[in-house]
Amino acid sequence: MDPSRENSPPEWFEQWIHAHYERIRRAAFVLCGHSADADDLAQETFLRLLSTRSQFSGKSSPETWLYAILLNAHRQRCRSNQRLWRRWCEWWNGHGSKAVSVPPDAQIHSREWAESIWGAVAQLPVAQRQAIVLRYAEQLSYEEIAEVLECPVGTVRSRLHAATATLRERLPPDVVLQPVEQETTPCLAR
Amino acid sequence: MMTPASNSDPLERCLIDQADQLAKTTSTSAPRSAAWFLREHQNRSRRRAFRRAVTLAAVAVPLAVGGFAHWLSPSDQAPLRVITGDELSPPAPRVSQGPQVDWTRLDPSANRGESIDESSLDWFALDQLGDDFVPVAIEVIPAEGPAQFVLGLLAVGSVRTASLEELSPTEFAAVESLYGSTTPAVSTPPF
Repeated sequence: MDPSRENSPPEWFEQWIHAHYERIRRAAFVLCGHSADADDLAQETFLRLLSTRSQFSGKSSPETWLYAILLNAHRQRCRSNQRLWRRWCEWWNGHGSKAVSVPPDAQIHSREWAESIWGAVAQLPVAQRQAIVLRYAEQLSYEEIAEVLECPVGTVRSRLHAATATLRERLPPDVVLQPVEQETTPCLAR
Repeated sequence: MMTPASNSDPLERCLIDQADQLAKTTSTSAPRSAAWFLREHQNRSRRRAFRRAVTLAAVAVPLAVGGFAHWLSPSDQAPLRVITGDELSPPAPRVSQGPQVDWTRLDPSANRGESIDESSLDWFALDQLGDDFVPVAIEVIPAEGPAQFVLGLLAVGSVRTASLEELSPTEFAAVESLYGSTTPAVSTPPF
């Protein structure tokens, strides 16, 4: 499974795709909420894997490695979108038109995603958002998240704490205070 | 390897459950092979490039057309006030006072710089201005009193008289461009 020791890239690549593509694509969708963007992110992750496989030492698990690539790609995409949006706003406002300040995330998302609690997660800062996705959507341990995000475990805990605290403030009380015994899953809208 | 997050907290349970639900509703099958994956990636890249080109065209073309139309628009050039019909008659008597009046047409036409006597006023005003949109400025130098300009624009009949002080900045510029100067000599035609 270690791609750095494989002589035939297509073979290991194929194995990695079969083993991990679906999970990475799912994480990408929870992150960005847009089906086509999720496909792009997942494909970009595996393409980067092709070019960076020699850096994979095998100390971490393949999934951790892939999550790290995915989150890097996602961060870059967020920055790029924000930069483009800022330029557009500057240009638009500079031409005497009505000022625009809609955030760059106000794009077309999947309806299910936007109406779910993950739509609210998308309003969090990127670092907190990524920690939440890894913890609750991908169910990684704190140590694994720290490895993916390349930060101390304490940082992961504080990011998660800050993120959940923000969500508790922003979400309706029936979502965050619903009794555990209740069988139905609390949600924003379904 | 995976350590499930706590599901005793309603918020955490909601996050986990809805992530699972999203995964079910939007699940996609894994690529069939590495070759398929790479081929699919190329196809997606091409489709993405096409979409971007279409989006760019949809935004850029109207902007370009609008900008070009705005550039062509004479609105910011503030054309001279157009006077038509009956308003044409008052200037004529005013400027046709005696043989000392010099009529100098500063229009780039065959009559440029030619003195026109008062008898040709009607002919000049109604026929020589033509139907095109060429601005015309006529300097009127009466025997007494300040020099005046008869300003014409656009078409037959669009003339009025004004002293130098009465010219608007736009008219001033128009006269200057046609006339070469806005300081007319009282007794000597400027040509």
